[in-house]
Amino acid sequence: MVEPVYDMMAPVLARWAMGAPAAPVATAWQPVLGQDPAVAERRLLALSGQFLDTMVEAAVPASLRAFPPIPQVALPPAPEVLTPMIRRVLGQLKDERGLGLVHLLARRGYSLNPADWMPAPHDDVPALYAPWQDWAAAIAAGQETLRPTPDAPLSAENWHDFGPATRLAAFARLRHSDPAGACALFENRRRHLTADERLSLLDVLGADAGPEDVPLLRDIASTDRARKPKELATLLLARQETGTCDRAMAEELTGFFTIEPAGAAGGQQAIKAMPLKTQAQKNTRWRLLYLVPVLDFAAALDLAPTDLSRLWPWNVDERLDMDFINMAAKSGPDAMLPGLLQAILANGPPYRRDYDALAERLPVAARAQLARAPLAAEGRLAFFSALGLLAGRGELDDVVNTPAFRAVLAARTAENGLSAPNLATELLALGLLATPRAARQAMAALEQAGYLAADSRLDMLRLNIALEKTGAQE
Amino acid sequence: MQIDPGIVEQLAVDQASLRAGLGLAKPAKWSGLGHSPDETLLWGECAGSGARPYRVMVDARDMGSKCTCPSRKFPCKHVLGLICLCAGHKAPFAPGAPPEWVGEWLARRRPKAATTPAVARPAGMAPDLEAARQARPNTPDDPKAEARREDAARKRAEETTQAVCCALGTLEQWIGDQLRLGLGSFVDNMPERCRQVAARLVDGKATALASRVDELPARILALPAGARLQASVVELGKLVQLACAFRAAPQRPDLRRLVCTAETRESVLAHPDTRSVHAVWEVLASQQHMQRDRLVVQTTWLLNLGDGGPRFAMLVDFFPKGAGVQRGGLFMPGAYFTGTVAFYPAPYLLRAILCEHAALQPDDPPPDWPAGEPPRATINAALLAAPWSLEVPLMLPAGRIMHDEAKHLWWRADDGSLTLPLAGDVPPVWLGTDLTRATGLWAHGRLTLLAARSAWGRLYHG
Repeated sequence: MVEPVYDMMAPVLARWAMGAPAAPVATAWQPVLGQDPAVAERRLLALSGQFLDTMVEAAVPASLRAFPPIPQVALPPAPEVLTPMIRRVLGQLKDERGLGLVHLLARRGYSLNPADWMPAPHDDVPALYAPWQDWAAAIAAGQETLRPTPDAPLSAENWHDFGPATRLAAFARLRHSDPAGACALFENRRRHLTADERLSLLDVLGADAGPEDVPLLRDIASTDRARKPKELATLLLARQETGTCDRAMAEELTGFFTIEPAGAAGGQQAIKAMPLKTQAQKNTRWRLLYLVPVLDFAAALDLAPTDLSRLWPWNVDERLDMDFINMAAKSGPDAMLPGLLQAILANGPPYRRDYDALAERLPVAARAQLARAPLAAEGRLAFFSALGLLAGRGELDDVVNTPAFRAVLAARTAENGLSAPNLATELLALGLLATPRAARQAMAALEQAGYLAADSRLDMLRLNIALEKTGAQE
Repeated sequence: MQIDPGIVEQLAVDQASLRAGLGLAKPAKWSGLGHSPDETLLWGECAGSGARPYRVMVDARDMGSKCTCPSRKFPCKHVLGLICLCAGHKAPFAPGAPPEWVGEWLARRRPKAATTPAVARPAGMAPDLEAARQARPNTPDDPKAEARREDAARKRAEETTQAVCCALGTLEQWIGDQLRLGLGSFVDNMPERCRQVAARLVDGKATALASRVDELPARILALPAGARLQASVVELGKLVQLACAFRAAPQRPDLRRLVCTAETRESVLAHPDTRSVHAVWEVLASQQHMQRDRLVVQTTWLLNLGDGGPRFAMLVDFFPKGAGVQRGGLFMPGAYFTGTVAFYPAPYLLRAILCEHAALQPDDPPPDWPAGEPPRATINAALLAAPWSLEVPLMLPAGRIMHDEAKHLWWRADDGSLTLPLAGDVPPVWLGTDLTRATGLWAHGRLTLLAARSAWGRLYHG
C-alpha cells in the first residue's frame, strides 16, 4: 500500500511546485479525492502532508562519523553540590573575567564541567585544560580521533603525539625541568613549525630566558622569516644585552635627561628630565622611550639598569613615569623588576591599565603586591583593576582594610557611591581575587553593613568560601 | 515571622488593590511559601492567569517588594496578598535559604532611602483594611438576567464560530491559490503572502490560526533550501486538516484553542476533561520568541519523572513586549519540583498549566529519566491524534551525535536502529560524549535537542 504512494509523491510534488493540478496523477488515492477539482487538490494536500510528515525519513548518509570523546583532565570536577552556584557565577561572568573563576577553581584543585565551560583553542587558561583545547581544535578541524597525550616528557620523537595545546604545556614543563633541553628541542624543531607555533614556544622560552639562550635568540632575530617571532626574539634579546637598537637613538634619548647630584651633601645622584618646550620634543621623547631598550638607555646614561628606577624622577611628570614603566615592562631585564616594583609602590603614579604589562612579567608574589595598589584608592573599579593585574595568578589577603572595600560597603546605601553595575562588578571581582580567609572577612563585613546573604552579587564570595571547605588545596 | 497586619493599609495604592490583595490571602492560591532564617525576606508563588505562577518577594526591612506579574500597580495585589498571608499567619512559611530568584532581585534593588515618602493618595482615599475585609453584599440571583447573559454568550459564540468558518473558507481558497500559482513561487514569496491571509484570519476572529500562519515562513525558511517545498506541503496540509476538523466539531476545545483563542486558566481547571497529573517534574528548556503582534511567547518544557500521565508538559505564557520577561520569573532548565500539572483537554495532551508545586528537598536525589516509547511510535501516535501538531516532544534512547561529510549533525541510537537529522547546532560538549538519554522536539523531519544525560552530567540546550 505504501510503495505506490511513495512512487506517486515525486510527480505530485513536481506538479505542485510548478502550479499544475496534482490530483490526476495521485492514482493511489483517487477514490477518496472526490470529483470537485479544488476539493480534490486540498484533500490530496492534507493526505500528502500527513504522509510526508509520518512516513518519509531523511536519507541517512553512509559516511556518518562520531566525534572524538572529550578527554579527561587532571583535576576532578567541582563537587556536585556547588554546581548550581558555579553556573550562576559563570552566568554573571560574561567576559574574560570568566577565566578568573577557571583559575580560582584550578588553584583549589578543581576543574569545570565541559557542559558549563569549554576553553577556546587559544584561551590563556591553566595547562590542565590543554587536552580540551586540543579536542576543540580537533572538532573544528573535523578530526575523527584524538590521540592520547603521552605521559613522557616532550621530545623530538614524540613531538607529533601531542596536540598543539598539550605540546605547548609539555614544552613549558620541559623548560621548567630542563631549560637547556627545551632550548635544544626548540632549536631542533623550529624549522618545521609554523610562525604561530614558533611564536608560542618562543613566548614560553622568553618567560625565563637567560644568557644561555642568547645564541638561539640572536639566530631567530636575524634569520626567522616571520615578522612576529623575529620581533619577539629581538625583544627578548634586548633584555639580555645591549646593542639591539641603534646607538644613536639611545644617545638621543639621553639628551632629554641629565644626571645631577642629589641629597643634602650632594653625595647621591638623581636623573632629571630636561624641560621640553614644544610638542615635537615631547613626541620625540615618547617615541624614543618606546623604541630604545632599557639596557641601551642605561648604558648611554652610564648607569646600571637597576639604578634607573632608583634614580628616576618620579612624580614630576606622570606621563613620563608611565612611559618609563612601559619601557621597563617591555625590555627591562628580570633583575631590574623587583627594584622597579618597589619604586612604583613607593613613588609611582596611581594604578593605570599600563601596569598590566608590568604585572605580566612579575612573579606571583610581586604581582600580588602590585595588585594591591588599586585597592589603596577609592577608584571606581578598584577590585576589578586588581583582578586584571593578578590575571588569575594569585590571591589577595586582607582586602577588608582597604579604601576600595570601604567604598563597596558604603555603596549599598550611598546615593553618590558606586553605580549598581559597578558595585556588582566589584563584588564579583572581590570574590575572585580574595583568599578564603579574606572572603570570609569580607562576607562578615558585608552582612554587617546590611547586605543580605541571599544577595546574588555575593555568590562569588560564597563560592570562594565553599571551595575552601571542600577543595584539595594546591 | 511577625508583620504588622496594618502595614498593607499603608502600602496599598488604592482600596481595590487592598481588597484584591486580601482576596489572594488564601493558602490554596500559594505555593513555595518561605522566609529567610533571619526573617528579613519572605517569598511565595501565587497562581495567576498564566500557565506559570507569579513569583512574589518582600524585603521586610523596608517592605520593598517585587512580583513577576505584569501589573503596573506597585505594590501589586500579589505582594499585598503575601504580606496579608504572613501577617495573619494563614499559611505556614518554611524557614530556609531564599530561592535563586529572590537573590537576583536583591542584587538589582537599591534599599529604600529613609526619606522615601509614603504613597501619595488624594485626601480621603486612603485604603481601609476593615472596609476591604467586609464581604461584598451578595446580589440576589436574578434568573432572568442570568438567562439573558447565557443567551448573549451563546449568541456571541455562534457568531464567532460563523466568522471563523468564513475565515477558514478564505484560508482554504488561499491554499488553493498557492497550489495553482505553484509552491515554488510560494516558497519564494512566503512572508508577504502569509501576512496577507493572516490579516484576513484576524478579521475573521481566527486569531490563533493567524499567528500560526504568520509564523509559517519563519519555520520553513529555517530549513535547508532543498527541504522547503516538502515542508510547505506539510504545513499547508496541516492547515487543511485543521480547517476540516474545526468545521466538523467547532466546539472542541483543542480546536478552538488552535484556531481562535486559548481558554482561561479557570475554565481549563473547571473543564471535566482536564487531566491533572501530580509528579516530580524536571524543567528541560525555557524558550522565548516574539509573535508579530508583539506578544512574547514563553514556552517551558517539563519532563514527567513519575510513572503515570503524559511524559511531557508544555507551559505557555504570553507577555507584552517591553513588559520584560525577567529571568527571575522563569523556570530555569535543570530545576526540579514536585507538583500538579493540569493538561488542557485534547486528544494529545501537551499544553498544560502548573498548579500547586513545591521545590524538591535538596537531599532528595532527582529520579532518573524514564525510558520512553520508541520515537517513531511517539511521533506517529501524536500525529494520528492531532495531525495539525507542529512539534512532538521525544524521549530518545542511548545515542550519540554524529556528523556527515557536509558537517551536518545527526543523532544516532547506540543500537543503530534510528538516525535522525538535527535541526541546529548543539553546545560542544554534546558532540564528545555518549548521551545515555536525550529529549528533543521533532518538527519538519528534524530534531531539536533540549536536554540529555551523559557521562558529564545533565546537559541542557535552550
